[in-house]
Amino acid sequence: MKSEEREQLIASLIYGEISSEERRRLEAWFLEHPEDREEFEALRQTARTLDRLQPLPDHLIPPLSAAQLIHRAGARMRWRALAGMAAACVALLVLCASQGVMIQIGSARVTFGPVAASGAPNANVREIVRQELAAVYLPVVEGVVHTLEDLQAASRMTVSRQAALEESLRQLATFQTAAQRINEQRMSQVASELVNGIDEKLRAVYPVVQNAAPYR
Amino acid sequence: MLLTDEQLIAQCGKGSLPAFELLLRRWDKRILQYIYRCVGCRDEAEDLRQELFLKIYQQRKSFRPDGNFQAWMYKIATNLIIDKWVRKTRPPLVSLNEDPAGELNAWRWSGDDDVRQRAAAREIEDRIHAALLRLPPDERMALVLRHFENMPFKEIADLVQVPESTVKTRVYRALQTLRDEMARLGIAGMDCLPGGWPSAEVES
Repeated sequence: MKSEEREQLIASLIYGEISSEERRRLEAWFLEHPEDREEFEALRQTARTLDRLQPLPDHLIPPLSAAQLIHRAGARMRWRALAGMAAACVALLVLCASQGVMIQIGSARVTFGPVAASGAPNANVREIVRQELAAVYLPVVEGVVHTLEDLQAASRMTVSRQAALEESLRQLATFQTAAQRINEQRMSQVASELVNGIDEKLRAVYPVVQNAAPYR
Repeated sequence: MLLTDEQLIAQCGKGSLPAFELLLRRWDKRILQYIYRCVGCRDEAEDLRQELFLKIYQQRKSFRPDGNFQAWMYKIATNLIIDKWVRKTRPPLVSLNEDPAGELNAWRWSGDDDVRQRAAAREIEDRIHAALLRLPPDERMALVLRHFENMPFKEIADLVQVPESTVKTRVYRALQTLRDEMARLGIAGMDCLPGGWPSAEVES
């Protein structure tokens, strides 16, 4: 019989979990090997000794309350969630402190860690920041550029319109001046014609007046 | 007619708090004894017991209707002991200083001759308990489950997921180590011990 098998059979015998066939084999073995019987007796005595070890007395065992237990379970879950968030924040801070991080909003830029120390972000961080900015801000920047282009186009249009207007005004002024001159000339002509007409009539009337009898 | 553990845990899975309370009252002291035998520290055993029932409550819906509640509970308890205690490799020592409330010390040194005799016996018992706790974790658990919990080898094998023959070998070697340790301590047997812990009356 191999030693492991013998050990297993002895354990089975001590705890009464041995079949009749196994018991016969073991008894036969003990007859040939009395030292193993002594071993068995010693171990059985050890097991009996263990029986005398007292359990904890009931009055020293505080009872558990189901309601308190369930309350604690809920509290524990909340604490675990908080602890998880705190751990995530700490991990993020550690990552930022070790790798460096740069935050840029518009023209404002804040840097932490090696980025701030070296004055320039390392390649990884720069690339990450570039990608972040590209993802977040590029569409906005493109929109602004388009708007500016539209405004510029509108501005160009306004300038050309203004020039046309100015030209129109200049032409109008010229027309007005010309019209005024024309008017003035015309007026002068009309006036002179009028004066001449009056003079002619007066000349025609004058001899009649000269030859007329005096009023009495 | 009493409800079985399996019926209670099924009701508990449907949200019955009284069913859980009943289950807890049925098992909390016995399971604490098992954990205490394995870890050797009352405070730690109480913490693990609380952890165990929390797990039972959280996993109540995963209990199979055709399952064996006791085996399921012992499996969770054993895994907890392995995870939270054995792997920490704490020194398995039982000390009088581990009695924070002073209940045992007060009882042991109360001045009464009979009580002193019992205290001396308890000291020997503590040493044997310490020897038990110095066993390798696998052997200690196998011995505690077989000897103190009276669990058949086959069930222990299912619980710790090793062959039955391995469990028997572990129990044999645990007894062998304890026998050698007792011989080293000069304890031939425990017949000298009156046995028993202080009763509530003695303490009061």
